[in-house]
Amino acid sequence: MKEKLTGLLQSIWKPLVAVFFAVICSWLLLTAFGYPANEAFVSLWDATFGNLRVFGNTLNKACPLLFTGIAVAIGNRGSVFNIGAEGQFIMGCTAATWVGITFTYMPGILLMILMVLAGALAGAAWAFIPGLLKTKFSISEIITTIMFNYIALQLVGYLVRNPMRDLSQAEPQSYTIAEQGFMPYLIAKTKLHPGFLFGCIAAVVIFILLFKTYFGYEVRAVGYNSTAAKYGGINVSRTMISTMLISGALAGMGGAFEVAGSAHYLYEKISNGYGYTAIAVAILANNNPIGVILSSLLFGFLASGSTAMQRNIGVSSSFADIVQGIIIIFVAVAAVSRVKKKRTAPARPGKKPVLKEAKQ
Amino acid sequence: MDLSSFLAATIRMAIPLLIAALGLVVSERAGLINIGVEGTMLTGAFAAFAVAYYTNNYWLGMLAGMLAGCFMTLIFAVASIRFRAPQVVIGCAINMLGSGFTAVLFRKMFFDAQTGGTQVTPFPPIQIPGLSSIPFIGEVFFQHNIIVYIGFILVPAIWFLMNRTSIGTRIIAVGEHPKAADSLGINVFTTRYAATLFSGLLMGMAGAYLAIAQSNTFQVDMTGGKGYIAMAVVVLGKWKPGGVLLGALIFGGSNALQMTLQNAGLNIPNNLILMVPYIVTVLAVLAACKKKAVDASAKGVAYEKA
Amino acid sequence: MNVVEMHGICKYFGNFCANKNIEFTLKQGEVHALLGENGAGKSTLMNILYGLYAHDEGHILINGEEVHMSSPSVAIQHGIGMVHQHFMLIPQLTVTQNIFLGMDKETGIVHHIKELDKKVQELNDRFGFNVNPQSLIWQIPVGVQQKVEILKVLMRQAKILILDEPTAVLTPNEVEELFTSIRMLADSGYSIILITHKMSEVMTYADRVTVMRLGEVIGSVNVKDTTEEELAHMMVGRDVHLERQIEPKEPGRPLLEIDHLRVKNDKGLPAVDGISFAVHAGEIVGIAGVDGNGQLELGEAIVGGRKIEDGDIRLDGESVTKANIRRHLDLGLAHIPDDRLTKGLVLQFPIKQNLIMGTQRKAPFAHGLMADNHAITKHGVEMVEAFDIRPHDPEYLAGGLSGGNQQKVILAREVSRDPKVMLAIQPTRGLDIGAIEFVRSKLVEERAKDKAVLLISTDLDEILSLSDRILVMHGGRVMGEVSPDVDVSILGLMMAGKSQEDLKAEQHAAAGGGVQG
Repeated sequence: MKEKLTGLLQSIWKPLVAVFFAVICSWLLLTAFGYPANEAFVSLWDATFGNLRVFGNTLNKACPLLFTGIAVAIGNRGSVFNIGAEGQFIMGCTAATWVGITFTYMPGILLMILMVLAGALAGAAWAFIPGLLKTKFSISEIITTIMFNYIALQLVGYLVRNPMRDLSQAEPQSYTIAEQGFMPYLIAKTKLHPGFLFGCIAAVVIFILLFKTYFGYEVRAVGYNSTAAKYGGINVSRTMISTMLISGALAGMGGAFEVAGSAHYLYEKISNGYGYTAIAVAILANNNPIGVILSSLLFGFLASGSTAMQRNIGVSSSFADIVQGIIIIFVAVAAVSRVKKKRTAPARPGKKPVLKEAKQ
Repeated sequence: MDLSSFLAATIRMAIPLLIAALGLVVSERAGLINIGVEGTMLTGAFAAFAVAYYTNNYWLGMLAGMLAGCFMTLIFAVASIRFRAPQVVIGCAINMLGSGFTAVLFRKMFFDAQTGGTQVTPFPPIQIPGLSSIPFIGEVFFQHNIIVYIGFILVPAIWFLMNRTSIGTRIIAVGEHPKAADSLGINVFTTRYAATLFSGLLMGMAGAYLAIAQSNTFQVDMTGGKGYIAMAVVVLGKWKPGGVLLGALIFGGSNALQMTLQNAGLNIPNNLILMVPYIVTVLAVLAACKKKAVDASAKGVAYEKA
Repeated sequence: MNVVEMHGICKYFGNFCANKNIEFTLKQGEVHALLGENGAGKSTLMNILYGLYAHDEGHILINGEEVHMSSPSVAIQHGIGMVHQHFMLIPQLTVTQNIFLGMDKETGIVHHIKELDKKVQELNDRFGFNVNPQSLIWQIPVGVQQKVEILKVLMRQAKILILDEPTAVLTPNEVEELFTSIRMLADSGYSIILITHKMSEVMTYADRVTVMRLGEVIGSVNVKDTTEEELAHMMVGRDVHLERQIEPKEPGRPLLEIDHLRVKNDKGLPAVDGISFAVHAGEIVGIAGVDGNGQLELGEAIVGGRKIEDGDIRLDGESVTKANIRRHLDLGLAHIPDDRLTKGLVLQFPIKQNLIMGTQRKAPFAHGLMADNHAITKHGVEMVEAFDIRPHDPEYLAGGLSGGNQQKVILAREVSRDPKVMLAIQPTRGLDIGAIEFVRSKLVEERAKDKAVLLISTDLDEILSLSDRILVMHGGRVMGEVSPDVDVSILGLMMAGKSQEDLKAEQHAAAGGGVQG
């Protein structure tokens, strides 16, 4: 137990330092840009932890990041670099909305389940094509998944302007989903929907899948060394496509929770770049699904706080992008310097190993 | 739109892709995958716009854009070459930084411009004497701004650099077999740094072109995926300057087609038309994947001395 | 005159001592062989001389002057050139571009291709090489690539040439040609260090020889003052007994059958060109041949990792021609791949997880979808004990193990599956002597347990001491089958592409001619 605890400490101190540096950098940048940095941080705090209501909002913002973050994490574990979580998330939103405005006669709970399933399916489908192109034609999934993000974005733009458009609204948006399909608020006076909770469950499930099943063993083997996996009898293409499908389904599910839990209709900017932030979320968590819970909270906090910062002191909410970028660079550099130390450790017989597979 | 203006638009649209892709050819053949090209271009675009606005000089704007691009690739280079961090991850971070910095600074410095008010004087079209008055050909090729011509000149220039100079053979060597290069006294790190920074100059130039040559203003996230498409152009052009030119023209054509369709007053929803370049990219990469290419084999792998 | 003197050289990797207090001298105009087994420290010493590794103790004198070899460029400045065992050529560049790579002072930034080609041609003519300066490296055969490497060194004005196992990938004819050139170089004043573990090369081609063992120099002698036996004794520290490691044994039923097999290589050219043979229970069949004659592709086809164009492969009677790798494993194939780092192990996995690769879905390691960590750990503990994998800790990452222990992990995994057929490809390459003997003894053990063992190796000694029967491969075909007591020169001729029929016909003709004369 004690060993586990020290292990946990060892694995989180670097991300913590990275975040700390990012905070300092942010403060310096805000000051350099001529913004009142202290005030900015105060408004960030007020808008995210100030009271129960805004904290609910923070969790709601963290929910899509949690789902897409797990999606990117499992992809990274299996060496499919899924930059397409954005598109898969959007397609999940779209499918869930379609279900929500089509099957209006269904009872609430059934409708919700159907929306989540539809979201997962749509996300998986959107991930399937790049996965297929990667395994069958060895086309880099990086370019294709990004292109699919743009295609998804334009598709939503088309849908909310044409077939799904609610003409009673000034801005282009879809019809609102059936009211019984709205997910319930968990705590009074907050808009906290159960998405984050389900996200935590998903994180645990994916953690077990990755580290406690033979399927996860195969995913990680393919991720680390696909050639050795192939000679070990693992069907590399099938494993990669499965990874991609699971990844897409998770992102799509996140979209469904976003629609059923908070947005309730589809509009063009429903994603707000969650799928890209998810890359930062996953990297910060060292691609560990449980860690993603924590890092999604951090970035959810940043996302809901940056809007408040724009409102209160006029910093563009894109400032969050800068912070994300800085965090990624610090974490990525720190992670590698750790690997280097491990590699040069001499293999001495009889000595207690310092080498463990990075899980936490 | 008639054919000649369609082709002229093709060229105008192809140039930023061409210039960025030529930069990528150099850095990818040196063994680096920089998906941060999107954010790097965006930074170049903003820097060019801001400097052109304050100095009222588009050449200074261009210079600033190129230097800004160079700066972004410097971050990439330090993280991925010096610290050997995963290149794709760092590329993602560069894109976030580019998008974030430009949006924040744009809001800070040009608050009014968000409504489209602030404009700069862009590079003017140059009528090449004699040639520009040739019917059809003149309109297609010889009535562009100077960056377009520079873009075309870069194609043989990069080819020459890669195939006929010791710099090019060094770049290919460190991308293909860094250990061999090292054993011949070639500094793998310096060469990779140089290739990356050079590619940053071109990416910045491509971004600057978007802001102060193709248009006359900056918009948040104005690159709209052009950096990623430039990566696809490199794949399509098989890491050769001539091939990249062809690839860029295909994508330029699909962009021009998209504009033509938008202006034609057809009853096709705008969003569906806007999808065209992205779908073309996927199809083009699919078409290119079968053929053997000369891509660096040590790509994406950080070099470490024994 | 001594052109190179190395005194008291020590080199440590971690706490492994690769070079211990080395004394080494090279005289001008001599061909000096550096003889020793794999892992004796020859390459390490030469990498130090060439500035690739920094030595921890000792000093180096070049032409009597102390030099700090901080990098290859320093070595090059002092006229040292090295031809590496694994060629340091850039496949996408031409011969000329490769030769002038990094020589900016000579070429200038802008290359005048014609002039440079001409310079290469001049050098070509001077030393009787026949290399087309304009060819791209990936288009020319290895023998020619080797010459490009030597040209590269000569173009850099090197007077001291280090050749690291230059004959490993050459046919006997190419070897002959190479040494003619080397002798020509030595006669015109060049000094040559020849790293090798082949006794015959030393005796035939070298002037002087330094023998290394386990990181130490055992001694330096003139070749004409010594004998093969004496050198062999110095090299291995005991009298060599190339004696057979197996007892005669009656083979059982055929477990692996190959029938008119055709396979292509990565370039799409025929690599295995209609091969048929069978391996029976309780025998070791060795496949001998020079690297790159289709052995690797044959191995990959047998595992199911390479598409089979034509022909049939049967495991214990069942055709696996179209089956995937998992099916092969399930039918009882064990596989020791040629490259343990890329094909054999997941370096980021602990030993115990590497030990279940291929059986991860089976009981006791999995129940349904869930993996059984207790069973995996227990298996890991048993295996590290049984195979003496050091450290004795199943949680240790495979990437942190020494080469020998990594190979033991693979062996343990493959043997513990209780296979019917064991395919071992280059199973001892790059291992130290202890590990080599361990691996070989395990193969013999498998034979004793009535497994069918197919051993593909370019190490003739290995093939000769372990095999019941030997097939010689050249150009994707089997040149013939010989028994292990065959005359080695006949084996050499077959490896160079003479088929057994040709040899018999020649013998017959020679015998006939003798009668007539």
